[in-house]
Amino acid sequence: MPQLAIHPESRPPFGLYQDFERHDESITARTSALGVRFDFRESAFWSNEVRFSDAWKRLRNTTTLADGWDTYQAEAPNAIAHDLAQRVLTTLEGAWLAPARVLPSAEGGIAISFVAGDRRAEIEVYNTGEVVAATYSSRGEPAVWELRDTEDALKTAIASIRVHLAD
Amino acid sequence: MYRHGRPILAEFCPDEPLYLRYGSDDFVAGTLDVSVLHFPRASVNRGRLSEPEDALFSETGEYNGLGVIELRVSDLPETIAQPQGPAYTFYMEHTPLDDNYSHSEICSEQAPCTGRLRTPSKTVKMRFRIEVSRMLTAERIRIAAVRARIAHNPTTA
Repeated sequence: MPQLAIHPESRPPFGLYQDFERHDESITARTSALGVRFDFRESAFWSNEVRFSDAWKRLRNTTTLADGWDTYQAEAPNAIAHDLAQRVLTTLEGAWLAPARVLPSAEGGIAISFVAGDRRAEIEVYNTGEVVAATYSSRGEPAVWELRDTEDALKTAIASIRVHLAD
Repeated sequence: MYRHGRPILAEFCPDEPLYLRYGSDDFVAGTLDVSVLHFPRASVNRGRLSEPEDALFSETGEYNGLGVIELRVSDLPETIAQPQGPAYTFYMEHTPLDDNYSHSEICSEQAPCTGRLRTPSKTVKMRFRIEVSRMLTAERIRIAAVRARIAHNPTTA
């Protein structure tokens, strides 16, 4: 019985074959899969997911600290600071703005920080229930303000931070 | 290191170094992270009476592997004003401990000076910490840290 064979030259002019020199499906498929995975990791979505996952992990790690964790006299973050930090992180996730770091603050609380080149921003939540935001760079007067305990105040601060980092 | 009954030396020169411990994960984009700094009553070792490695001295070795960074008295902002509320001035106080003669603290008081320690608001403290952290670049490292400040620090967990 005659077998149907398609000559390589007669293949349709689309598909993976067109991107590579060799007409070898095993090579092109593997190469393509690696490319897709690379692109996925480079995507803003993936990068954001990874950074938030790291931020939540770091926040959980601050629950194990004892007073004096910084080798000086810093208070460990308490339940008030943890609750506030969780609220800030949740709002940041909704706003699609991932922090660079989440660390205990030597001031007694938790620091959520943002970095974009020379530009930086902080949201610090304290054991006292206070919340302070700051935007600054290597020069010039920093902008520092206290946030009232409302969702609107937090969203406004996040918007200001986003603008500062993008400038 | 040990005080051995030596007196308090109140005078600080503007170029006097102040040594602070830090960990390997405390730098962000070239400067010491603001979250590392505590205020007021921030403890430092004064350079007039100690060497950088003295900031890592402990009979139990608990500071082994940490680093030391140098701040200078002149790096401290003299005054921080705020639109609503009093201005604050900043100064050094020599507060020796039995096992650390060089121990000193960064203090603040409300302007005009009353001679009494006054704790500023969180916003003034944040501005102070930002101003100081800007000075603490990699060039100020005197002993490089090879570990984080705490074993279960988030970056090593």
